[in-house]
Amino acid sequence: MKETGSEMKKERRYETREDVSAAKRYIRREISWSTVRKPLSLLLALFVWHLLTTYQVPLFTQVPKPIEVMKDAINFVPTTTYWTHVLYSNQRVLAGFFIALIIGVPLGLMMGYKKLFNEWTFPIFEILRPIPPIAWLPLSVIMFPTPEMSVIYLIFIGAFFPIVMNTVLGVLSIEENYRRSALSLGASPRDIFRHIILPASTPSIFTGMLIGAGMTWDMVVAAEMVAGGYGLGYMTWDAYVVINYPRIIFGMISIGLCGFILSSVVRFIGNKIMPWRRLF
Amino acid sequence: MAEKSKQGHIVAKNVTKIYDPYGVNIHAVDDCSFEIKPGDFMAMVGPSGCGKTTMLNMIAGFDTVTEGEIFMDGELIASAEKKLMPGPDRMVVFQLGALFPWRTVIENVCFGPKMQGTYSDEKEIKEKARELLRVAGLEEFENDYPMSISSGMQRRVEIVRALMTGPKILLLDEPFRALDAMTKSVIHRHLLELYDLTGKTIMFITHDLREAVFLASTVFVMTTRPGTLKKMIKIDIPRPRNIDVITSQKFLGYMQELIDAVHKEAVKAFERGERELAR
Repeated sequence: MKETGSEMKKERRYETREDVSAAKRYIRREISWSTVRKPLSLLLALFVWHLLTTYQVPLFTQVPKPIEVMKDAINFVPTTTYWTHVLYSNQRVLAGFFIALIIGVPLGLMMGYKKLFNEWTFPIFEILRPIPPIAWLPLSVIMFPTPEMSVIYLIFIGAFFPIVMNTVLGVLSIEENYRRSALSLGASPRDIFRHIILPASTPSIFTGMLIGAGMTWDMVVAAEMVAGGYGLGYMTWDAYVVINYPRIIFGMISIGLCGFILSSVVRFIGNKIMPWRRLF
Repeated sequence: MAEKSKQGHIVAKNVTKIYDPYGVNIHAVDDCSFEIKPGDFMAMVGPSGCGKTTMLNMIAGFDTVTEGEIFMDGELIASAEKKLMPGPDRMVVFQLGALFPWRTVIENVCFGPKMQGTYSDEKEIKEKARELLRVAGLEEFENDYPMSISSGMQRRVEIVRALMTGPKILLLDEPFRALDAMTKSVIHRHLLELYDLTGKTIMFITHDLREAVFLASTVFVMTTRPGTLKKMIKIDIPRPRNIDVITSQKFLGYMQELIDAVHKEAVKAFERGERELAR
């Protein structure tokens, strides 16, 4: 028996030490190039932007040059005003996102797991889901006593539906054989939920979280442009109002970076708790 | 070779199964009676759709019986009135496998004992798991996830997982169907070795006649749908069996007998299939 095990293991290995080191060299070269390519692509984009604005290509006549944006950023980043904007937006995003997560995931699990609950709730979702989250804006302003609360509510709405929907689909698409297998192995219904339903739907939950995280930044920017006060969305809109064009671009880049950081964190956590599945 | 198990004696009495999924009655199994002796390695062959899997699901407790009764060790486990009751005394290994991808090999193997709480400490479970994994040639892969090992290895892990709970009978539903011939020959050796080691009663469903003769002590041939037992062939080849036996005169004789029995049913099933398509 023992030989077969090691035979199989051997298939993965290279024959001689030379082969191994050649393969390693090749892999190392590939890795080093791919790490260079990614930052290079960003530089390339900057360069194209520079050309478009310097040579006054139509549509780009009013767009500030990269260097102007950079100058504005250098002046603005050290100020507390900028960081207050960043802080406000991030706080709102995180608040809305976490509320969506705390309500959305258990709700989605229930809707997928309990047929009766699903029949009572799913039709409501099917009607509410196609409403673009931004269409909730006027209602949310009327509903909530403070602008802050309506902003968070909008963010919540943006993240909530993708999280619920993906969780439901995740539970519904679990293979019946996993459940049967677990029952055969002596699992109780509670074990099934904890050891089968929960882990099997985790990938879908994270897909929902990623889509939801993207929506949160859509919503915060739109809401802040209306609500005013502080925040990166407000900052960008205000730059337009006071005719500070480089600031518009800088605001946009700041929003992009914050959104990127949030998705990266979600991905990172996903990969940490699902070592069996590296999808992202 | 270990003692044959004294448990896992299956008696099916006049079992009938009619599916009624969309208002169209499908008569899957008809008045089928048979007996699997304790410690026997039984292989069930028959044309596609003849109710082999249905039979297995009814024994496993995944599917209800329309008429008739199934007993295990004298105890009623399935009848029209009885509530479905799958359990660790009847372990199933599925066609396409049902290893939990979110658990490593050893975590999968230890799942059953943990759920049942049959062992006092984790160390003991793991030791037993490692021993069985060694017999299955998998000891180096215990910390891998199912996705990262080959499908032949996955099936072996699944059989080991099924054995871990100390089942009275092992129900294998075409477990090697998706494997190539080379992998099959390796996995057959492992399965026979595990059988010789544990002496468990096994019900093995397959389309592969050679596989049936090579592995089993008793081969049941099912008729075409509605399926019932057509013929029982005792395979009197001594164990432990080596791959050499497949060229022996005795083996070929059994093959001939089996091919004759199955072929007529397969033709019937095929012709009926043609008729149904033409309708």
